[in-house]
Amino acid sequence: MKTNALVSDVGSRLNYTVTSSTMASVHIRADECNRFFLVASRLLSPEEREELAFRSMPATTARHYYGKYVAIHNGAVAVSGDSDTGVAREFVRTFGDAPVYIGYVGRERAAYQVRPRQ
Amino acid sequence: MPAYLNAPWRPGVALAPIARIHVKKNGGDEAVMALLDSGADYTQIPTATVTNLGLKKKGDRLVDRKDGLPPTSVPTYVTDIILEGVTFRDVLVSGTDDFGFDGTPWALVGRDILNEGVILDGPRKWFTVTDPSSASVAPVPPSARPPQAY
Repeated sequence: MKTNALVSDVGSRLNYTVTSSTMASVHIRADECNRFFLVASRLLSPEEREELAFRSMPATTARHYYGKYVAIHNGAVAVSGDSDTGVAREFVRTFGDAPVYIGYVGRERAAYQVRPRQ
Repeated sequence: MPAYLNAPWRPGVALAPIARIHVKKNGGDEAVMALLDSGADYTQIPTATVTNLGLKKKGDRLVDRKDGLPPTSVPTYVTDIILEGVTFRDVLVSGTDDFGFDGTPWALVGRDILNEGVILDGPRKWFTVTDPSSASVAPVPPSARPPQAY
């Protein structure tokens, strides 16, 4: 849970950082931020490290893949495409069951799902 | 061809495309009841199935459940889904307990699978499943209607 909380914290700050393009607004100086990521990455599983890489994607990379689904593997974009199902299949074909994080770059439109039944 | 079954949440009233699917990964096999839901963009499986098969999270997707609440992020997993003996490989499914009956979470088979090899025949109350990798699957003729703007 501690790790999850840390990842969530890092993720939310990074999301904000990416959209605002300023570190000052989230009150983390750049040097502290690097140290924070280093410590955080040691606590994370391989899958969580890929998620952290996704959430801390450099702005230039984010601009390049804006509006696409990407599969992050070894900290970099391994596969990209218009559907996450397609990206997942291509990733599995190439890399098997290797650690990956598949996410949407930009403002994702919500998928429709059934109304919860209690 | 599998027949529609009584929907347990409306017994005797509503027939629905319901099936017991198998979720396979890592040498494990979990059977779970599922509704074939053409209104669902994606397939989802219960979280207990995720745990029992030891599935590793592969990402997140944003889901709008149309219940007035804001969209929420749900984890995704890659797994094989077997429906009526036909295997749909490496499907990126959502892991959530949002749908079920009588306290037991069910799976939803969404259009990511339905569009690959399932025909829902409402008037005859049955559905057919064809292997998406089979060369014998006839191509679906394009609709005569022009694309609609929404």
